[in-house]
Amino acid sequence: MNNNYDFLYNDEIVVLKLRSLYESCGFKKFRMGKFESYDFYAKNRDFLLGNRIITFSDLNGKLMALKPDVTLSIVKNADEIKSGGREKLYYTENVYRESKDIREFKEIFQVGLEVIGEIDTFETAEIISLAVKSLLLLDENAILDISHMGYIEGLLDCFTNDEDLRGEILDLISKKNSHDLLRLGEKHSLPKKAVSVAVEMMSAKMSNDDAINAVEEMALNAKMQDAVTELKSIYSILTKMHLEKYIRVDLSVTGDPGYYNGILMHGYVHGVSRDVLSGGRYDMLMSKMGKGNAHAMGFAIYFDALDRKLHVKEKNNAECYIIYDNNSDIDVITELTEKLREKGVAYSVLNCLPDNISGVRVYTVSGKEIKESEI
Amino acid sequence: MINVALPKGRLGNKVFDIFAKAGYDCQEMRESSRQLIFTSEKNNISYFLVKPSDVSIYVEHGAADIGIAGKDILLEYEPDVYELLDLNIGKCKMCVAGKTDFKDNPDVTLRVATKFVNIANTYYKNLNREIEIIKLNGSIELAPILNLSDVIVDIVETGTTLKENNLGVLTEILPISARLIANKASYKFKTDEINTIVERFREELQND
Repeated sequence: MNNNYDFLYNDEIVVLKLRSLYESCGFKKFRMGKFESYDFYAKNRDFLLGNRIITFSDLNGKLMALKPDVTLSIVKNADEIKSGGREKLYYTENVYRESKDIREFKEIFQVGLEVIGEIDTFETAEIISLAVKSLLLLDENAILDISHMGYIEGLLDCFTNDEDLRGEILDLISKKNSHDLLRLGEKHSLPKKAVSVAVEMMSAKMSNDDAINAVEEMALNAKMQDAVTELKSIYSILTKMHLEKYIRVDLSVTGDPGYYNGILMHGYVHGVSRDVLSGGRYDMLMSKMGKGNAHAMGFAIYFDALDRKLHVKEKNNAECYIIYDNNSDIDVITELTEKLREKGVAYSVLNCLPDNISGVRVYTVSGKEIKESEI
Repeated sequence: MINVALPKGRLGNKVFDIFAKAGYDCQEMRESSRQLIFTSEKNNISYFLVKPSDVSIYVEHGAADIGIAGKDILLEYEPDVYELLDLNIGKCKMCVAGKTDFKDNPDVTLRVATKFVNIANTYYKNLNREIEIIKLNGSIELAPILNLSDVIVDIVETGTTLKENNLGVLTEILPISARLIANKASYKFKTDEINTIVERFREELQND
């Protein structure tokens, strides 16, 4: 073993590196229990992904839930924040959610961070930069999509106030489905200008500068203009951080308008077929939880999506094997293990060799005799 | 290399012809019948043929970067994919059909036989109509004839099968056509290649 950390699995290494990254940027680890009162989630159901929660009664008969989300607990437990101050927290936790594919509950390991309090342009850029750096710890071929819910909401305001129709439009934008949006526009006589902006938003641009210029030119109201102004300032900081090549400005990336209200992020790494990181600005949750006008922004990395990427073939943890039987001398075995331990050699004492191992030294103890071989 | 999931059958063949005309021909696809995957190194493309209802699964899970799926499948399974182009081929309609003399009695729960549970549920939910879904996997037209259901929700192409069995379209729910879909992550890493395919496809469809 030689006192190194070769025995760690890739996912464990990634988690340690992520922790190191967040700690080095002043984030404190947030620890939480596995359970919360069910009431808490029931009251805040709108802010949860999915509707199903695993519940059980505790010893006092109180209905409890296995936590389906970390952000809610962080916001609830956040200390009183001084005006202008901010709290920076990160977590490594399991959450329990319904899986879309198998219609059963799934334990999902998440690593994420949240900033609560005053969030200005620089802080927003720093959170995005940490999202990019987190992705780069997973794979050097990474892309972070950034969008702005303010712009999207502004555009939806130009379309209609009808909530169902807004939802339908939002869904089509998120699928880059311009053909059905054009049809929907005709069917409901939606404003042509708004339809053409949405269609243009969905088309991929040559560069981020092109994308920002295009959305700036197309802004139809103050909400959209304010969002572009913020986006431009943030992108300029990210450029100074030399992260622009990992970022793609794509305003057709949408989120839940009941949750997100500013920057949105979705991160992808090569070899994984879905987003592995998502997050954004969610001030509405803060006011709902009685935290006044405080802001909040964060992201989470979903390790269930990374399972295959981080999985490596099981390696031989032991560098050598000591094989013994009923006639082996215990003192000889003890002496041998002590010697190996002193030398820092990883060993495993067994009564037969495991299958499928190679490249290891084998000590077979028979009576007081030790036979050494290599396989 | 772009991996393409094509639906087996007439639609798949038609779509492959468009791919070939658009510059993505694959000689292997024309020659071999036993192979499962057909690759053209020259055109940097690989095709495989799957059951039409499975195309969106292959694309959503990233086994295929892009694919051609019917709008019916996309509405039924709601895969998390990009829908980049309406090919305007493979056209048909999702309809409510039943006996030609069928009269709906709103006091009774409507029995609906269908393969498309999600589409049927959404349609009747929007109408506030209480229904009982009978999920079938084929020969849907039999259900109202044998009084297994009051109506069916199914795809109607020409309506001939319905007519021959004294059934008819009661309501058209929505038009269906083939769509070019893309895996979201693949689109991030292969944007230019996928966009080029979409553009060439669009041109070919306009030329047709």
